[in-house]
Amino acid sequence: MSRLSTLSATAIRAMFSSETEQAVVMLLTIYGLDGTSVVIRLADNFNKRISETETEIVYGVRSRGNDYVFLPMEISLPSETEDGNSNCNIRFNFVTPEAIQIIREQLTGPVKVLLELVLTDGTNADLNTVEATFSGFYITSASYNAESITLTLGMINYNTEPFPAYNFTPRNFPGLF
Amino acid sequence: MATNIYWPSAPFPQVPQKGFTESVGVNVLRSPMDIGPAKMRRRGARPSTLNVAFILTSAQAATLETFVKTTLLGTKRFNFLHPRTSSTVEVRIIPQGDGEFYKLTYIAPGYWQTDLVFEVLP
Repeated sequence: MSRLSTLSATAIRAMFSSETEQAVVMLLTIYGLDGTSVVIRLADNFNKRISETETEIVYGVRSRGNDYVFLPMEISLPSETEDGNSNCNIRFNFVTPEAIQIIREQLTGPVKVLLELVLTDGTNADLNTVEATFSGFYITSASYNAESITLTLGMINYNTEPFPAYNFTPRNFPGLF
Repeated sequence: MATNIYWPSAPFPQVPQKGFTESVGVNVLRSPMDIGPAKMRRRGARPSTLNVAFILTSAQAATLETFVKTTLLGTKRFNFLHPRTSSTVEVRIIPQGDGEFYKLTYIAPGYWQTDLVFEVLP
């Protein structure tokens, strides 16, 4: 988890200045169920066309060699709570039958996601400096209606995990009793 | 790949004869302060919009209808000569609610006026 002290001088100056050309771009990486393969990379802002065909333009940003597709989304970043566990929500105002099908058929388990914040100064340069990283989040639930899709992200809560993992109880070791 | 669709060629009107306005801007976040000037920060690019008005003959009105319905299918972008900069830009027609892309107004026998709104794609 990032702290203010990890932000670059450019980001801190942009945060406190009365006017700035710097804009924050959130990068969202969604992994597959195996936790390693990347399914999709999304960004909530754009600074260039990353691909275009005769019928379609795809806007987005490029960061560290990867293309992030622009898709408007609203995110509530995790707050720092006393117990260390915090949820985060992402809402997409983009509902298609294909997206609903992916949620219903592919989202069969907790899917790892990575949130990153980068800065863009309005040029179409690659955004390679990551200002903040929020890792360790998993999609724990998804809801949708005709207007939006909301993903709830949560972290693994170790407070509710049993420790030691196994006790010599009749349920686990009935042969001992 | 740039689009291969172009605004209908001459004698179809290439520049708006009846009026032209342009809206230019940038998406910014303006946060008023209790004291002092507001904070402003950039959010992203904003497509410029062009309001163009043409005078068309009846044949040209039919050409425009075919262009919007068949060529563009209402959604595709096309190349258009920017009336101010004289450079070719990629634009889309913004429908004005309920799928209305333009309205033809009768001005004289065989002549029509139409107003369209274009957005210049960044």
